[in-house]
Amino acid sequence: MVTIGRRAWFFLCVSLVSLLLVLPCPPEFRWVAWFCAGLAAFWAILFAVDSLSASDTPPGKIV
Amino acid sequence: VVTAGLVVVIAIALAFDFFNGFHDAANSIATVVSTRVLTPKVAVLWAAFFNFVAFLVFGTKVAATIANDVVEPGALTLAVVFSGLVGAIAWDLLTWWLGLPTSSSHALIGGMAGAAVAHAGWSSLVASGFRKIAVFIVLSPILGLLLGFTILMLVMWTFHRYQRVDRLNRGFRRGQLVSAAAFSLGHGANDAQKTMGVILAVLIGAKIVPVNAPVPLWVVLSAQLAIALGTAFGGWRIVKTMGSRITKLQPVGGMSAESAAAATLFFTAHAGIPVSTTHTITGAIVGVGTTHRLSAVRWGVAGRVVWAWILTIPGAFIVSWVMFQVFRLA
Repeated sequence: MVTIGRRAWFFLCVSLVSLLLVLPCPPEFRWVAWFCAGLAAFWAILFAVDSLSASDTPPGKIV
Repeated sequence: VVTAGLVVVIAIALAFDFFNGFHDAANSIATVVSTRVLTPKVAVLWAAFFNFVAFLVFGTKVAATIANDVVEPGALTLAVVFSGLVGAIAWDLLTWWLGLPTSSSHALIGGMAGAAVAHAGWSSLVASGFRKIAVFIVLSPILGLLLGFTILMLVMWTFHRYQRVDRLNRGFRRGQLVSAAAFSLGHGANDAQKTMGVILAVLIGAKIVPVNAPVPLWVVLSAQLAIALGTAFGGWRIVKTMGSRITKLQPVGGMSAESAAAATLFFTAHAGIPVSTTHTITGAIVGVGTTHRLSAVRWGVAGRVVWAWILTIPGAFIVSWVMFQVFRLA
């Protein structure tokens, strides 16, 4: 079974929490919440791709 | 008119500021001392100096938020500010005894709100100011975490092929001098301004200065001096450091965490948002720890910070509300 790794989940959760803060944030500071959500999503995607590509590598193959 | 009560409240506010510096000195000098970049003596003086000069760089927007955007200026009497301060200090002592890493800043905001509600009801609170503060209670550690992680990843990507490790470590150690100074500057800007805000509020309440008046220079200088002295005295007593309590830090990690926290504090000081410096550096250290693996972070400590988020404002609110009722009866 393919899993995306704990760090990807961690950053996904951080991204979701940041997204939840967009609405209650005062309008002039909403960009901070969007920035956090975007940056966390970026790392989540990167770690997910990293763990998926690692799981594609056949056992014992040196890359 | 300057009364004895006014002088006592200002003295308590400055004492609160002194103990804030005393308590938070660990955050400013932990990494430079633990990585032996500076001796404890020099590190303390370094942090105290940059705490003191913060007002020259960042102005007093946070102080204005505390004085005008937490409680309606009309509801700020001497008794309200006194009860708020005493409640915040009592909450700090209680949580220190329980071992909860609470924020003095949030205790101060909760305390002022509790006393104001006891005096003039819920309508005395400024909803928009509370909304801004409440959102950034959560957002500032998240921003610190993400910046700490990103800065360290960028440094690792940039230097991963570099062979001369000794030279690299020397560079990071020097970098820590700058990052520790930046963090102290951010700390001085944010936390000293909260005391300035309280003193400004009490001066507005006593009608010595008008609503929306700038912070008088003597208030700025005395608050910055109190936090710098607190940092200088607090530094001597540090045994356990913030860095080693959450995750083990190398010079490069310390530099990244402090830079991330400093960037967050610079932004919030510039925008006039009071945030917890302790929670911001905690977030940044968690971010740096996460670059190794999630289990490198002591999640128990991080979890206690989350509890502190949830409990501090309501807790200090209730204590100050009770304090105000007691003073009213006395």
